[in-house]
Amino acid sequence: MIIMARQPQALDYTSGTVSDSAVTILGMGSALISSVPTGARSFVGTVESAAVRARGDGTSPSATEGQLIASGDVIYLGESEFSSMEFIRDTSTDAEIRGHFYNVEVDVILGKVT
Amino acid sequence: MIVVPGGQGLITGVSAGVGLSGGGSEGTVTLTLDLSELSAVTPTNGDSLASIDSDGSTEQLTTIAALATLLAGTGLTASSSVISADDSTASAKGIVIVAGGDGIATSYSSGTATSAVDLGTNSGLEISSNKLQIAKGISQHDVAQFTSNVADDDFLRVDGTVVEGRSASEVLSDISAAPAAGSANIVTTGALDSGSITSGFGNIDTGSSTITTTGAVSTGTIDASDDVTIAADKSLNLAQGAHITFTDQILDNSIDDHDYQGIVFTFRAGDTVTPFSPVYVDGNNEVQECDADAIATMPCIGVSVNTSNVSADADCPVLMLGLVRDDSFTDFGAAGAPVYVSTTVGTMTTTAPSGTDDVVQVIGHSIAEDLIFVQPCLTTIEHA
Repeated sequence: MIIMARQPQALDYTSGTVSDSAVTILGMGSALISSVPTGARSFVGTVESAAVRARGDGTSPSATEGQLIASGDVIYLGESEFSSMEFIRDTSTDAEIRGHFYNVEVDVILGKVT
Repeated sequence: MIVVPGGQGLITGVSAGVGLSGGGSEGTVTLTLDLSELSAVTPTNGDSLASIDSDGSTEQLTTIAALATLLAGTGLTASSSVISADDSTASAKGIVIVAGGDGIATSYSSGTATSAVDLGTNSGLEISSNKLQIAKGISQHDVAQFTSNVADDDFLRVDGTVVEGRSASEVLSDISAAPAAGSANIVTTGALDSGSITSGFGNIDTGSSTITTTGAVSTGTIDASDDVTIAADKSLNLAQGAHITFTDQILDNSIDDHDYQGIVFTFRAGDTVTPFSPVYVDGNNEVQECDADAIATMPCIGVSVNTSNVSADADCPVLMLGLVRDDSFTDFGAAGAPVYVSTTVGTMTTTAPSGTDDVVQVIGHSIAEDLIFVQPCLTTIEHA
């Protein structure tokens, strides 16, 4: 049996500002991309400048509630989270999220599925 | 959403670095602290040690210098990671530096200081059975020294349990010893029982004490500042050519008022005898005042020299030959004039008595108005 491993391919790049209002990666301030690239299955990006809080249960995060993600951490989003995972800055300092959309699922990128 | 802290990517393996062992490339891996992998080094100032805080929550890096400072308690000082004893506070507590003082030698071995008395070489003292004792007699290098009760050139005397200094004179007194020949002074309260005082010895001053001897006293001039008394039945023997001389020249004031100079006999007064009155010997061999009115109260044998009345039966000093002065005399102004017994009882006059039955007797001569040289002539004339 021949197993064909899918190779991750960046489809597009985006960056934007996370301020004191909850936003998705498509709704970030000054976002380079406001709609999901065709064929995109995952997003891998890095939080910069300041920490943010994230929440994907349908309720928007606040400065005091939500998963804390430190500056420098790498986030992996699945396709369904492009428009459901919201971010808000943790402190008074705006943060940026910069990353690429890939054509494979997150677990492929993480090497868990070949 | 998956979050990978620090932006690290997929972990494909964990390798044990220096100081760690274990690790792996799949599944659950474990890293174990393995200090045996660390290099053996000699720590220096500036090095650091890994530590954890007191509640175990925080791993931290501690410098050796800070650790040394922490460990340096009282009496210790840390400097550049080196802990040393602080001499200035060593006496408080902690490490004490034991230094040997005079006569004390201190040695160290395995952290123990041993102090021992250093008696030096050829010492006169030694320690035996924990006792300090004299090992030798007092020699040329071993001079007893005292800080009190002893002065230079003193002799030593044990008084109870105390050694005290005594001067040479005190020692002589202490031992009742005769002073050495040539001593400047002899001070003693004891008797000089034997031996002799030889020529050239010098003066003897006994103060108010007496010198008593039953032997003869051979001497040159005797200067007596008080009476000279010769015992009963003893004589003042004058050899050939010797004499009794009253040396002071006789003048009108050669003796003081109420003084007399000459030969005095002590008679017994037969009745009251007034001062400086001529006296005769009565039938009881006692003296009474003369009265030239009658032969019965004559002749005069001398002049009484008592300065106050002599009562009957009392001693009455009578000048037989010599000078007598009484400033109350008024009748003797003519120097050299004969003096007679007066017809007034107990008085003298320069006028010879001339009445019937009066007795004329020259008893002396006037030297001055108040001074008479007494020399009674026992030949008398009685007027018819």
